[in-house]
Amino acid sequence: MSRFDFTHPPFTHLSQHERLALEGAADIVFFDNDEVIMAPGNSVDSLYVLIKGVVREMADDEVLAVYHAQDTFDARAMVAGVATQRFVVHEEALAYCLPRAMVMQLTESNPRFGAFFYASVSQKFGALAQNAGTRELQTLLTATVRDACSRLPVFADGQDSVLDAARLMKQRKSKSILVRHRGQLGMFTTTDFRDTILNELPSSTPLHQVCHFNLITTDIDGFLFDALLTMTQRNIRRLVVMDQGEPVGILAQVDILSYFSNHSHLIAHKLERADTLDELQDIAGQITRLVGILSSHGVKAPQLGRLVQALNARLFERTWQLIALPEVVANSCLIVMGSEGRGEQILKTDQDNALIIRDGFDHPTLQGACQAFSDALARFGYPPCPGRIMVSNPQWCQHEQGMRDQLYRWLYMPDADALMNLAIFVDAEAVAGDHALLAHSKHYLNSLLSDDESFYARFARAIEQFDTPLGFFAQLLTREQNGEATLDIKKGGIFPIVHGIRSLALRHNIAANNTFERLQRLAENGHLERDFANDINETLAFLLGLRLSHGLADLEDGRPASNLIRPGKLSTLEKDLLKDALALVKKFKSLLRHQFRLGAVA
Amino acid sequence: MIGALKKQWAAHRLKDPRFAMLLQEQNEELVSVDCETTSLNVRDAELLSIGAVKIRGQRILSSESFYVLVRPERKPDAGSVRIHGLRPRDVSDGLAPQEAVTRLLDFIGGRPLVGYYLEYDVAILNKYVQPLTGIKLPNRQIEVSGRYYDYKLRQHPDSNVDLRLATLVEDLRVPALPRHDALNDAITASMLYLALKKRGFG
Repeated sequence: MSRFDFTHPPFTHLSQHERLALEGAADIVFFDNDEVIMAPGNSVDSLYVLIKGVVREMADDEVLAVYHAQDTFDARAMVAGVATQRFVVHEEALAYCLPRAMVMQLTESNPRFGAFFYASVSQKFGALAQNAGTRELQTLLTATVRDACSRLPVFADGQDSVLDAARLMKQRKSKSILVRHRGQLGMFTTTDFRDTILNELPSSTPLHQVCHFNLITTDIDGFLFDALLTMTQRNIRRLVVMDQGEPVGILAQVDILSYFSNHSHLIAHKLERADTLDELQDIAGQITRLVGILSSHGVKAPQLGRLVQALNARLFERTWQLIALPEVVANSCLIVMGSEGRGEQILKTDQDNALIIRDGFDHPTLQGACQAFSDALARFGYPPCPGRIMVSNPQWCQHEQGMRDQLYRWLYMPDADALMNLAIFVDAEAVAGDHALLAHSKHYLNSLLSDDESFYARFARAIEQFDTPLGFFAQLLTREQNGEATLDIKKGGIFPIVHGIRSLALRHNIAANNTFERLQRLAENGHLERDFANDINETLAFLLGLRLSHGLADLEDGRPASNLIRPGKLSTLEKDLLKDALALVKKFKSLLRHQFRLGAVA
Repeated sequence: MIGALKKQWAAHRLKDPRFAMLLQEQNEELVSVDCETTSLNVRDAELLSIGAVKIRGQRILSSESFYVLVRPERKPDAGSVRIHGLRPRDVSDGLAPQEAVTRLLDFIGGRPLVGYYLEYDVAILNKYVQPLTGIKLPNRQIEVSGRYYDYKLRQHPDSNVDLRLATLVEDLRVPALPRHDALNDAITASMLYLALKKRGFG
């Protein structure tokens, strides 16, 4: 008899039996509007699962996250036993209250639940650190056993009895002890304890008769990945950690899972090892799932964007390396552009990529490789770009000289698409091959850009393409689609900010690609007021987050992710934030109009 | 004054000192209770299952809930099986009614009772409680539908108040649990009670 459904993560990983046990141990708590569920410093002895209502996670006056029915909070506070943020009820909340001890025990006994659970915890830690993306990737590949091992070993003598061992395990709260016997090292675990009972051995049996001596060890400076691999291959849960021949700790599987937790590490690792396109296709699917998991645990869109950018870059690089011959890779530069280049593309939408080939280099397989690359990406779930901005299109697969000529034409003999192509190219980022080729092209572009103010005005003018859907009395202006009111958040909010900032960055010769980075540099150099830059930063983060959560919902319903959001589905709080965000977009647009004298452009 | 007298009278009538705790009112907690029965007519109805859950402050202690199946003396009729889903074979392993009610009284103690159309459940329970203890359930009773009526009347003084359970569940925005399971119904009543208490009608 199940009252509330546990068919949402992380509980999907529990067995029916475990779910019933958890439900049996859970209380139901009712919280009134504005009630504080936990505040920094409060001790936390339960995990809450919202049954109904809305809860905000706050740091001072800033809303960090909004939780709805079925959302779980706060994994991090529960593990630590103490809250670090304030959780405030936004709309009468009814929550399941799961006892800490039981959840912790499940994370140990059910490794899949544990992995998922700790993924959320360490991701929350990661999300707090700025630019989680690339830094995180570096740490995980270099993480050693020393970083994750925190269990000190408990020692017993081989002559001690099983009864002594039981007392010791209880006293030290340990599930395994190391046994020293005549210069040998053995291990005695709860499993051995079970076998002792089953074999009807007396409790006075000396440990050296029942423990096992063929221990599998790992060096404290070994890579954590290798330790995990060893456990998986041998199907064991614990390794003895050795430091210069001396046992210094026990590394349990749950330690590793809690350290890596977020599958991003595992995905990166798999990417390095993939040898076939089939494997890569599999990994591409995992990236989308990872985004869903991390997003549901409160990782913010800007950080997610950088993380996905790093993973995608490796995915593209690996794909290109598998498809193209080594000399082709060495004499060309594969670039991604647009939102992918800025690191703001979180869910897979269009491919935006190109290839710059070294002048004088040619190879008969080049054309075929480019086509195969575009096909492979389409297979991975990146649909072909409707504007055909991809390597299989000769316009975007050029020698350096050809690319230079093209940039020149876009600037001085612009046709309808020229400014858009230029905008996409400005955001280009190299992912494989000789990165210098892209740097040269960008350098050439900068040398062409003069003090011709009318060019920047033409470039910036695209922000006027779409109206911002906010009415005079701050009502959201929506369009009907399939009988539902919708609003295009990209045209109305994200594009004007991204393109406006891109125009300013181009105008002031700022090399960064990411909009958030560009914003910071613009503020540092005094081209934007610091407070205004911060407001734009928060607004863009909010809009990207909103687009992400809608996109994920689209994917879950089996539709492709779109830029349309349905305001009817937003909570009151989100609607208010959206109105504030769009109001700021309007303000930013009028500032750009003034800076670039857009009114004066013919 | 009258209450004290009634209590003295009840204490006098009490057969078994085991049940004296029923008369010690404990107000820190409440108990929401619901019964499934063989019929809706109090005279014929026999117990099939009892669900109960304690409420402490804002917390529904579902982790310490009470749920028992009861073996009726006569078979449940086909019409009622359709509602509660308890077939004769499901309750054949149930407790004897006296045993079930004794355990329930242990669980309730002197706590006030909460329920939706509690009057009916109390009337059924009293059929067993009275022979067992010599008294009817002395606990204070909080009728959720009554509190809801007061709340609606305060909002719209001259309206007809719809007291159907589905209406309460929707209006007070508590989750709709699968119905006609004694424990689920007791938890639903608890949630309704907390929602009403928050609106000042607890």
